[in-house]
Amino acid sequence: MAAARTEQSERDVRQGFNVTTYLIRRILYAIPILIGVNLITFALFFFVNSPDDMARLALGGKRVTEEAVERWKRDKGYDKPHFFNAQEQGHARFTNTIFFSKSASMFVFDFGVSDDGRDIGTEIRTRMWPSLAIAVPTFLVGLAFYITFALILAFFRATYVDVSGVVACVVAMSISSLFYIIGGQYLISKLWHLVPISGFDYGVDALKFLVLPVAIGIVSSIGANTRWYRTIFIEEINKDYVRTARAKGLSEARILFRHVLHNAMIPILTGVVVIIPSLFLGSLIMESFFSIPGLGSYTIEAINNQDYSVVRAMVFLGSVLYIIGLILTDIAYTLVDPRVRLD
Amino acid sequence: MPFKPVILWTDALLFLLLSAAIGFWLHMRSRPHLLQPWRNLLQSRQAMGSLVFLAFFIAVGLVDSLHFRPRLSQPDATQESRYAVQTLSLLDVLVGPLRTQTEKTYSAPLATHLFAKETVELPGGGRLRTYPRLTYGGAHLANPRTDWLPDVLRLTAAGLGFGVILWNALALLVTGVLARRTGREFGQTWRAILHQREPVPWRTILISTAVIMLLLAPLAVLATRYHVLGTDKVGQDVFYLTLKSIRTGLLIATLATLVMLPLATALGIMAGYFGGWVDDAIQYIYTTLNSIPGVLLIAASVLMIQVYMATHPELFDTIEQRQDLRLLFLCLILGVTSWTGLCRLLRGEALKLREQEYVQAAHAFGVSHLRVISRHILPNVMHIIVIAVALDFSVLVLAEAVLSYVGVGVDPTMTSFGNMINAARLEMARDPMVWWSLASAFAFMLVMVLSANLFADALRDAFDPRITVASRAKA
Amino acid sequence: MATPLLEVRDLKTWLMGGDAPVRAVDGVDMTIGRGETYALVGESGCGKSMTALSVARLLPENAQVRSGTVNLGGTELLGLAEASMREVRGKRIGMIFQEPGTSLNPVLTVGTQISEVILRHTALRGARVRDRCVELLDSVGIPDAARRLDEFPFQLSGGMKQRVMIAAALACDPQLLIADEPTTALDVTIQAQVIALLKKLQSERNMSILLITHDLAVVAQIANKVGIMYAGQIVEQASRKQFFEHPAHPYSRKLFQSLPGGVAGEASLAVIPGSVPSMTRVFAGCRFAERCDLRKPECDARPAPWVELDYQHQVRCVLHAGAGQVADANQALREPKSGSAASAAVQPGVSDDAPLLQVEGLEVHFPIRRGLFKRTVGAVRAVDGVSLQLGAGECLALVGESGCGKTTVGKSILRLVPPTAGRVLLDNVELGDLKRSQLRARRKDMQIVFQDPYASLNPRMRVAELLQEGMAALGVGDAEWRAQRAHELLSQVGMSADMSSRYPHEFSGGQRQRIAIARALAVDPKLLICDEPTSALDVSVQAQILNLLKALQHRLRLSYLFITHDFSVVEFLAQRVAVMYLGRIVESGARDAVLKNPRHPYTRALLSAVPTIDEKTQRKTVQLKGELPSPANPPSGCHFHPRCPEASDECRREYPGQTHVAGEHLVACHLYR
Repeated sequence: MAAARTEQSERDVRQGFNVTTYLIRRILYAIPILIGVNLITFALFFFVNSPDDMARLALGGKRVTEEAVERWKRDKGYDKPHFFNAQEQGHARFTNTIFFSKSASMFVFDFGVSDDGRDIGTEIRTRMWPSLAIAVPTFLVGLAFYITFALILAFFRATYVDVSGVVACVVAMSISSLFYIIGGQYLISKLWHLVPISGFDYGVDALKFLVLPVAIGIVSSIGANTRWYRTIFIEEINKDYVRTARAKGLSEARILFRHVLHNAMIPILTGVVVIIPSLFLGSLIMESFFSIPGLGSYTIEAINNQDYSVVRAMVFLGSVLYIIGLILTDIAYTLVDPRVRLD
Repeated sequence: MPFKPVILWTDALLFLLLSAAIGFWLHMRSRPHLLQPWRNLLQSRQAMGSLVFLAFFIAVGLVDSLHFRPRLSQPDATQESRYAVQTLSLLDVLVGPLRTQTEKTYSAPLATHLFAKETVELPGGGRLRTYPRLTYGGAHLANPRTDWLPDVLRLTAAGLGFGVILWNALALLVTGVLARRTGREFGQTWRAILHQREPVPWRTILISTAVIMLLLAPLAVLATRYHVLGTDKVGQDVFYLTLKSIRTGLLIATLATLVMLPLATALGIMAGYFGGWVDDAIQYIYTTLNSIPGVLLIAASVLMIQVYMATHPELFDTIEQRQDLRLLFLCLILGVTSWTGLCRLLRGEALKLREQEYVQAAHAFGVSHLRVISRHILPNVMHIIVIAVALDFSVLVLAEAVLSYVGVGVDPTMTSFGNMINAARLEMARDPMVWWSLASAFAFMLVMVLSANLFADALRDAFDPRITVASRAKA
Repeated sequence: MATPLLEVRDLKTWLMGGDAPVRAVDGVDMTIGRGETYALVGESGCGKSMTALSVARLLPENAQVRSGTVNLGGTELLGLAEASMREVRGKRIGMIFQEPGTSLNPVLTVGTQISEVILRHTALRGARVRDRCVELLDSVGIPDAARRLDEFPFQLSGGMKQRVMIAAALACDPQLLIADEPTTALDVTIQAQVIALLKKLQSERNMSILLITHDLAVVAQIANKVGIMYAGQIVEQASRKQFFEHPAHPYSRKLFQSLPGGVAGEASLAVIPGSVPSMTRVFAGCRFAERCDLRKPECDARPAPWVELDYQHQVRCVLHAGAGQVADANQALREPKSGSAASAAVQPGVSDDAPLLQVEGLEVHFPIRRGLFKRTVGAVRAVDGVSLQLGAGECLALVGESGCGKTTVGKSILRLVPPTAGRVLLDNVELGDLKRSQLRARRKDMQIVFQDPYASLNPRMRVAELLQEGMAALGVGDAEWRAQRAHELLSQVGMSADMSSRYPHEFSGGQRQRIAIARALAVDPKLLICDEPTSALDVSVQAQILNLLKALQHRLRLSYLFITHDFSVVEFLAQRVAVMYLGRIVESGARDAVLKNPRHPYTRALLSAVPTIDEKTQRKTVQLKGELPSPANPPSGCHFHPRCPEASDECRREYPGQTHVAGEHLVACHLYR
């Protein structure tokens, strides 16, 4: 036994080492991706249209004087060359450019200032809490609901419960999410006056504002998710090891919970874990319908006001969170699937 | 010529797609094993039932894609012909007055009066705040209060009767043709259809057709005298708007696929088949694209094209052309953001297929990579592509509505489900609520997406043997 | 005889879902006594697995039992409620399946999977459950059992997984063990271990076994009673001795005759024409009639009668019906019309010319990358210095267990896998020096036939397209000529030309393998690499393909590099043999020299592990310990020493060189220095 234990701990040590190398490698791999993201957004924002075009549009129409355009560009910092500034000396040749000041600075999470003059970083830090307050409960409660429903359908597979459940799922996923929101607001807030129609408050008061958007968020994707998880469960149920479990005399419920659920978590995690970090960004539509001052409505406002700095910042933040999601997915794998090691 | 045909970019692509589909079909006709899953599909009640509904939407979309500019009436025939600035479609001609008969503002479905009170100048001098009569809707009624209900019932009954007659003619035609082709008696064939003994589920097809006809015929008849689904804020007929929205939804769903398909197929297969640095490069591209949240990438791109269009107004002759280009661009962006999923799927499949013994056998003959891909890999991933396209269709139709709401969808002046919902949403606070344009948009969208989803489901069953086994279990 | 343990009467199981029901099991009767091993034998698709699953009521969802009774020690199983049936499964009936790899839950530990049976059916709890698990793992021969309990299935080898399956099945001392092809997925040395284990456990526990298998050799080793199944019915039932000495049914006789073992030289194997009939059919007469040499008019008229030859031997055949006809039947059966299609008399000789194929020091290493920058930290030495020679018109068999690298040798000769080192000369031309286009021209001379006829033909291409693809790629002839050639090829492999417009899925496994052979022959190769071309086929079909390969070799003077794990096939086809172990050849030489007088301990163990059906010649099995090590980390010294019964210190230190023991009989072993 002692020998076995030392071997075990040796394995743990090696595993720990692997996690570090793994993380370093993933972070190194993330850099070219983030550079790619930055180049794409940079190209979109500065090559499709020149800063002059943007200035004219922002200042309104064709009859804008050259001076006004120049002033606008100077104010926003768009009067510099794209990549290389020949008029500067030393490293300023590269740093005093649009790319460096607008894009490269994001790597240290310096997002600059929005059009209305506020610091985007501060804005993000205050607005992420309302976003999380909606996104996290929607995600967690939703996941529990979907898995439960899918398990019920899988348990009653090939009976009328299952067939009608699947039909209900297909109908539910054919309905626009906008309908759930508008219908829910109308029915619950306007007709029955159960909760306020929209708005947000901090502290305990937040609860009454959160119930409706969370419930609607869950309901609006119940069809697609339940059906997807059911397919995964059914696929697992048809595998050989389930037959072995039956041959042991185990009950159907135990097989479902002990054997199938655990194995099905592997494909389910692939789709689920990757979006966890992105919960920070909130939901564009939910937040704007329910007037919640989160990052989602921030983004929508920025889009409507054509505030490019904010959109660019959100794009960058989104991709950073996605990459974190990928790393978390890999780590989650090692937790549910003993065959997978980080390396 | 009384009109000048206008081929918008999207029209051209739509018809290109249509001819490609027909070409694909002709190609397959000589290959029975490729046809086999389609034959299964043809025999699936779910597929055929939903296809009838889809066919209706596609037909409306196609008719709405034949554009032209009518010639302006000119007193002097010697002058060069001049054409209207406005581009019309064949659908506009078919629905006739629906397009032109606009009221002042909101009116409820089948209403005879406006929804909002207005101050009317009385003939005798004096003013009255009242609900004025509509200019067109129910204008033929002398006394709306007493005549309205009988008139509506009469028109509905006429519409139903018309629908029944039309459906009967169709059923007779189907049975007759079927009887001739199989050499059976008419009655015998009819009973075979009725008892589902035909390989093709004709009964389901006929029932679906009946549902469409019995719904549409009364609507059509009522629409000649009323605004059957009401009017919107600027008095446009909602039924007309809904019909026009079908084309937008259809185009988004198909053209985005058209953009996505070659990208996903070529890159996915290349990544999986060649492996090595090709795989690394392609994986880098799709991880990078994937890492940008889809809505934001679309938003950023659409914002940019908006600026471009605003600063280059000289490029567009008509509003329709501007709308069209924006639509096309939106499809492009949707295609670019949605190819990664299919690409990853195909990469995995190609990775498996390249180790298959028949691919190795081809290598043993020194068959070139291009030929291996086109003859061994591509035909064996075709089912995945077909299923992915079908599943994407409904997702894209739904996405249009959301994107238009966010403000990065189709041109705000274009008729689409998203714009209709967005406009109607602002009136939610009114009491009583203006519910009809919201309801019409949602209802039509639901039917369209649901039939697409049901069809895609049946398609997957027919093409993916693995899932068929699971769903075929007893019951 | 005491009351039997299991009695199955008139069992009928249908598979629903297709156009017509598949009558997979169509009236099976069988009786298994206590402590008895009943082997249910048949080719794929005959319904033997469905029978087993019906007994345990573990049928897939689209199958249902239509009629019959299954009585286990007085309990009628088919009538039990599902809850009561769960009490039977695991407790009174244990089951093991063909694929130990997929039959164990990948995410649960071995201990969990065994203990859940104990927790379900016994009152044992706590630490005593774990003790019982350790005891079980010990009894199935898993070393270091206590530690193994906490491991996951992926950490175990195939043979170990099957032992774990057995341990779980036996956890509650069941009266009946149903073993569904328990050794088919295993290598021959592991198969021998598992069979020995089953025999031992059975005698210790006085348990009955229902063994489902297609392998007569396995039957010969373990069964007390044999039932031969054909097309959903048992056609013959007898004690092992009687069955192997006097098989009564024409089908049973044919099965024996089509086994390649013992036939060598010029003779060809007996074949059963055609293939197993579709089970969606409703049969009027005897189900075997259309493939039977001894078919009589009455065979087609009514179902064959179930004839009792004696109290332990029954057969379903009209030849044995009626007392007076028994003699006739035996007479008829004794003169089989088989083995007649003797091939051409051309002697395949080893020519004196330079060999067609020369392989020198071939290495194929797959790098293992680890760490921060994915540096290469090691290599899987799949092929690690293989040299061989193959003369024109000669057949060299490359024999070894799965994972020994034999397939990689074949593929790297064809440059389907790039070799890491070594030379491959075809007609004295070094293939490694050739440019891509030059190599392509050379591909005319060498072709390959793969193992799995279902995977080696593109399902989306017609037969004609399949056959012409290679010719077109190598620019042989024009389109018209190629079409003509495709027809010739089909008739050459015994198929009709009108099949050329069909698709692969319309053919049976044997026919597909013929098409695959025809495809390889399309470009007139000199060298044909056959990568286990018959191991995915049923015995009767295997005989057809082996005969075809032999005839083709004679007619076309082909050279074969025949990759296989099956010594009986080697005996039938090869002139020379090379035995591979962990990427290297350990023994090579003329067929008879190697097979009759094996020198290397590994060859000896392999040969002794091959089960033979002839009881008289049954060799004393040299049981090998353990399993094939990983080629990523081969043992020091002689790769075989950890499993070798005769290993010395020298073996641990140093890899032995090649020794000529006699003529060209080479062996790499310290015993012969």
